[in-house]
Amino acid sequence: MTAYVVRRLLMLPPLLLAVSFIVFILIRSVPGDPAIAIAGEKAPLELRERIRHERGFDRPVLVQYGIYVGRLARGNLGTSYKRTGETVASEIRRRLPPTIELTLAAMLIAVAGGLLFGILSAVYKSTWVDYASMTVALAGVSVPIFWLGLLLLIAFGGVLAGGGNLGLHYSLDPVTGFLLIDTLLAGRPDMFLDALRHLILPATALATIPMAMTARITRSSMLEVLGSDYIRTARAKGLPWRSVVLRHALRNALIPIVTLVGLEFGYLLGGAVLTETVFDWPGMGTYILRAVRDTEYDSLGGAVLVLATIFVVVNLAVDLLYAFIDPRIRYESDGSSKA
Amino acid sequence: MRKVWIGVALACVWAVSCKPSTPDALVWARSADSSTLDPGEIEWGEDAKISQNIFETLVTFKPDSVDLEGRLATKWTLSDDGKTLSFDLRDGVTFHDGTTFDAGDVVFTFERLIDSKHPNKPKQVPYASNFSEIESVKAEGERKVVFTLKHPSAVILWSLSLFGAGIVSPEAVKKHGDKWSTNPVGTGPYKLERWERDVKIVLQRHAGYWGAKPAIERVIVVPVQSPQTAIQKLKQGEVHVVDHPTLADIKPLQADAATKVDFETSMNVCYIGFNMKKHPYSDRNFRQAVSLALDRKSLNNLAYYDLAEPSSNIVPPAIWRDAAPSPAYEYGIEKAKDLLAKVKLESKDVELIHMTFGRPYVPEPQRVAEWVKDQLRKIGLEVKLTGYDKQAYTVKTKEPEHPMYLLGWNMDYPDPDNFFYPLLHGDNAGDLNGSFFNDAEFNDSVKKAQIETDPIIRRALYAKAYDRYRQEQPTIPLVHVRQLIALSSRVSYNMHPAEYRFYDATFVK
Repeated sequence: MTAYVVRRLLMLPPLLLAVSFIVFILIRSVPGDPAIAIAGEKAPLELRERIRHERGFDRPVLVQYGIYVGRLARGNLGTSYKRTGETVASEIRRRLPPTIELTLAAMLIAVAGGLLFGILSAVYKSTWVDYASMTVALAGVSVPIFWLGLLLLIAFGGVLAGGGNLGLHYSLDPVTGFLLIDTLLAGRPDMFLDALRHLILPATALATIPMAMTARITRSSMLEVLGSDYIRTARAKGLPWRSVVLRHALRNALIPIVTLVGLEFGYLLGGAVLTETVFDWPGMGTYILRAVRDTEYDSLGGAVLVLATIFVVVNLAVDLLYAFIDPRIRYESDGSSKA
Repeated sequence: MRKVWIGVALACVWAVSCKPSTPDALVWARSADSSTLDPGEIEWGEDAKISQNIFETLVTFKPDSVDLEGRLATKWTLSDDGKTLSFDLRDGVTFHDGTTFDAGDVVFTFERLIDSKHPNKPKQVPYASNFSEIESVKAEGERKVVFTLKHPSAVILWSLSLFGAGIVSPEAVKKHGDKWSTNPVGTGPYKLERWERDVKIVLQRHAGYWGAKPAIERVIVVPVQSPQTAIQKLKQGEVHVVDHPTLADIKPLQADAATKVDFETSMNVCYIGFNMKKHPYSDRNFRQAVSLALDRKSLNNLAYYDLAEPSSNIVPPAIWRDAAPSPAYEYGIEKAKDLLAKVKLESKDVELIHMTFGRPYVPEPQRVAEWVKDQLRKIGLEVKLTGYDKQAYTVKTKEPEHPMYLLGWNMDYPDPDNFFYPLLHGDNAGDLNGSFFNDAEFNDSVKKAQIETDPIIRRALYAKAYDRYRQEQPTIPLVHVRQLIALSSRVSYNMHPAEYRFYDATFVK
């Protein structure tokens, strides 16, 4: 098991190197002049030339990449051009916690709602409960996030806050960066509730698609398990129905659901770009969008690398979770699994 | 137990849905956060917006016009040779950090802008060319400062009114070093209280301000990228001002009792440019035919919701100030066809490139491009449309091979020079002058007007330049778009034509 984890972690650097190369080449293939992005269109030509030279934009792309990787190896993600004096690392440190907070809240809603709808659908198969749950699930998968976000804003914006992650009249010095934690650490329940008010709408919008997917997978997985012999036996020996469903059937139906949830985390990080834009959430999504708009090479590269790292680590965690859920699964050092 | 849980859940729902009352701070929504608050480093409007409320310049615009008046200067005199400009400075002015404003501060501010070896120079000065004619700045005592110019300049006062010329506190610049751009200290009506990057900038009334103090104690400036989201927040009372509404929002906002819209005269232009190095765009008959085929009134209606005015000059009327007659562009399909017949066209296929992102002068570029295509079809031209995003487009219009292009300009200072020189002078061909227009007579008139201080002679020079512009038509102006801002009915605020002055806002009682 340990050998397997080490092996997976050792794969991380080459993977990130490949990601950094692809991002680096892609962003530089997009037409645009970073010197104009830095100094502005109205800046004198000489200034733009100087910037190009000083920052090495006039050198061959592979040479630029070599310099970039050299910096990365020293833990330096670079500096933002537009935001004078701010390093990419410090910006990401500030932007990542709100995105993780939003993603986790969306995961919570997606998993809770998905399990509930999926189990109800399976248990009440071919009844109106099943049809209603699956119709909602289908709608959830089909609705674009930005449209749903705007709709939620119009419908509930009067009751729940829809923009930013904290009321404008509040100010809080971050400790962990996670607002729900920081507000409690600061002993401010009013701010905590305000942060919660701001979190509900974007988290709901972001949760819709994964919730619908979870519901559908839960339903099919539960239906398969509920039809097995041991469930019939459990019922025959007189176990309460609730105990059969939740204790015996659900646990065995969880493997595909956990796999999906792990993949959904990556999806949610990606979906956060759209959700954060609609709700002006100060996280990685709006950060990436700004970096693209301003041709901020280092900011974009740094953000994608950090998100890719999180994605890989979460997937590893999900793989390890299988063994916890199903003790029959054991990992071999070559990466294969045995059941 | 179940009842307890239901009670807790209901309490949570109640608590979460209770809206806390917002104190009386003005909440101002805009499209993006600032990049820097060092006036010298400022390149774009979002940075200038904050700077104009924290810093003050020697001269500024009058309350309702773009005429100049003193601000930190009480009066100024220009020597007979036009090369020495002296300012008497205002007494009793203090910076936000409590230090007293004097002539040394003016010298420090400008030396860090013009001296590339200055120990406290900004990281870059995008508006450096506006200050390049300053030879030196010297203090004469505490209340007088003298600018020596390399040559006489008709536009130097405009340059000194730019946000980049905001007077900074030398003590604060030295104290904060690398962090100065996030810790600005000026003499303006508001001081920076807090800047949470990408979340908000909080400005606090400057208690020691020398002039009329702002009616509103705090201004919270928040980035809300999506105009639709911002408008939604305005309707819900979460923000008081939205400075980037879409034109489509205007009528609903006017119809809603909780909101209103304020308009201000246009300081911009949207135009079509022609690459004069490439056939058929290089043929004057072709350019004139295109101009004749465009019905600007229909454009205003279709793409600008009647919130623009058809152009007759690349310089907006408020800046042109009737320097010379600028008759409306003629619309005539038959005449256009006749002119087009004189052009040696290999095919009827031409191309128009355009941006895919909205700007104040062209909020919906695709719609304008489609309109051009539709109009030119009437004279037999088939227009291929190609859109580019922001960064790609700025490069594309500078390349030697580009075709017709849709572009525009927002003024930096209200003088015809700010339109004629960057957009049409030969010095800038292949840069901001994407049409590569390089007309000796035009160039000469514009250059002479830059150093001519006699207003009558300047008008004559601009009349001559305009005449050449109309004859050659390297670009054809389409519309000037009115400036507008969406407001809560609780707020009283009249837009200024050239600046965002938060300190003019009040709450309606």
